[in-house]
Amino acid sequence: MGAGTVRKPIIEGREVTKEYRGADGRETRALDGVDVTFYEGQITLLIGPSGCGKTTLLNIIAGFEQATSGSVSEDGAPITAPDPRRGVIFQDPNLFPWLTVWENLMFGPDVRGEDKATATRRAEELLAMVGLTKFRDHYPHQLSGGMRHRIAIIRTLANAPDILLADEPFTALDEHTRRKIQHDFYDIVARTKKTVIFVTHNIEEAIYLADRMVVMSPSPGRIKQVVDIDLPRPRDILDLRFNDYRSLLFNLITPDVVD
Amino acid sequence: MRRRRLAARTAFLQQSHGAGARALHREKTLSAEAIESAKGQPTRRDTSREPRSRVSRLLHIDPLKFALPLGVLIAWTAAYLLQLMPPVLLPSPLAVLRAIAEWINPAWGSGRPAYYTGTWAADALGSGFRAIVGFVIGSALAIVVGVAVGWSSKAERIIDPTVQVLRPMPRTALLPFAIIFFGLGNLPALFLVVYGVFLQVYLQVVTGVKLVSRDWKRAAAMLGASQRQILWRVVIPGALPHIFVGLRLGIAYAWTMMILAEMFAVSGGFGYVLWRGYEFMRMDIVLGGMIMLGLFGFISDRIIVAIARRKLAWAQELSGNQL
Repeated sequence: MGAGTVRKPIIEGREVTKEYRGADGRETRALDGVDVTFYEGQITLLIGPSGCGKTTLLNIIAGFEQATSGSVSEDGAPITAPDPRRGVIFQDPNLFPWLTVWENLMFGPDVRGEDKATATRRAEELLAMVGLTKFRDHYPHQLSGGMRHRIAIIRTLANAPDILLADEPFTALDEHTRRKIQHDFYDIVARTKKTVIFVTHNIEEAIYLADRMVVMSPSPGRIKQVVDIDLPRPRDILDLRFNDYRSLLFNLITPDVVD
Repeated sequence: MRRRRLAARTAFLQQSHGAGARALHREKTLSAEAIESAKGQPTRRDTSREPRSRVSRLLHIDPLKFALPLGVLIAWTAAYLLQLMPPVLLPSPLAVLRAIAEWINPAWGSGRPAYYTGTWAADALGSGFRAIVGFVIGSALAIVVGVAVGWSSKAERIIDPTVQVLRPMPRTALLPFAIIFFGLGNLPALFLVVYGVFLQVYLQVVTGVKLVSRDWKRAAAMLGASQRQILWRVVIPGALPHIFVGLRLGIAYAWTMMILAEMFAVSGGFGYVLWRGYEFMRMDIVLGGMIMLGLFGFISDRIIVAIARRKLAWAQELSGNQL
């Protein structure tokens, strides 16, 4: 993240606009002409209050939804459908309940027809990394909430994506579990050097994880400011400079909160 | 891989039958440690109420399950003894048992041969064949067509409106045409069963496929699954709970349609025996036929439930209930 390094753009959104037709037939504009660039090997956080369109933007990057106008591209190629190069971690673990932990991890490599030995080795490493090796033959509902989230993260990683897209994956967890998993998550990402686009509304989580932060504002969803987080790792949430960022973001986001 | 899956599934099934797992549901929080310990030894709480081994579970009789049937039997006997209706119209339970006995074997009866003496085995075979074969064809068709309709809006536009017009029309109304098209015998019976079962199962399959979570499909898509793989590996497993409800409704309907066909279009089977009994005012064999139908229907339903319990272990664990 040094000032001299030139980063390579990997995901680019140009004039991205998304409109939804509500149940009453009225159009709502979730995103309004958003221009945004995400760089390779960087952890970018999308943050903003409810209704700022951060999840919509992520879903468009994932290929789950299409922009009403404008374009989103990966390496210059327009994104039109989901692709295993862009792995998604959802808000709910969203594991397949009829498959065991191991079968969930092997789902991606299996459907892509990846070499079994390579995939097995990777999945075993990831399981060991999150300390859940002995739960490989359990079904998801036999695990605790925190374990399910960890398995969901490594299911996406076990598929060896280039880019990780995360949509508030830790929101449902209690504070202590969330801190632990944030730490594990950063650990894995740092080791595998992935590009990450991570949506959250939690300021502390955002500062803890981010290399760069894209702050959004609602009604309609626009980009308000881009903030580089220049703090040493591992980050200490009690650090004074951490707190400076906290107040900066607080002052950026709070005026936009609508009730 | 497959082996391991089987092993895991067996362990899982045993566990879900055990008292330990049951106690866990009550506590709601499923800590992995608790699961580990539940696997090893059952927790203390439920051992007094729940017998441990499978065998003792099978032998264990729940008196509550028998209270209502016993009450009906007592009321029936009382009504017979008090002569609330002439015995010709309401025979005694014993007379019904006697009729069933000579239906199965002439040697066990009064010696006076009737149209039904000794034909039970052939009737059971014929009725069973018509109901089961019709059920299998009808539900297989319903699954294929239902998955297509639930999955593709084009298939839905082509097929669904017609089915929705046919569905509210009583399926029994097809009997005259079934006889005219297919004559007498097995064919019209099979046609009616297939038709009735199809409509019953179809709706559940379509509902099940449509209600599969979008997030599961998105998860599969971002992991690299093709549409076909999403259909086979996510949509169909995810729709199974609904499909099994359809199969249970379908098997009951199979017996209903089979009886109707046998009453009018087949000279054999439980329905034939039952209807002739009515025509001859032999209410003992009418009741005997009803009992047989209930028994066969019950057994076929239990078989489907047993398969569903195995296949839907995940859904049962998820809800904390057994099917």
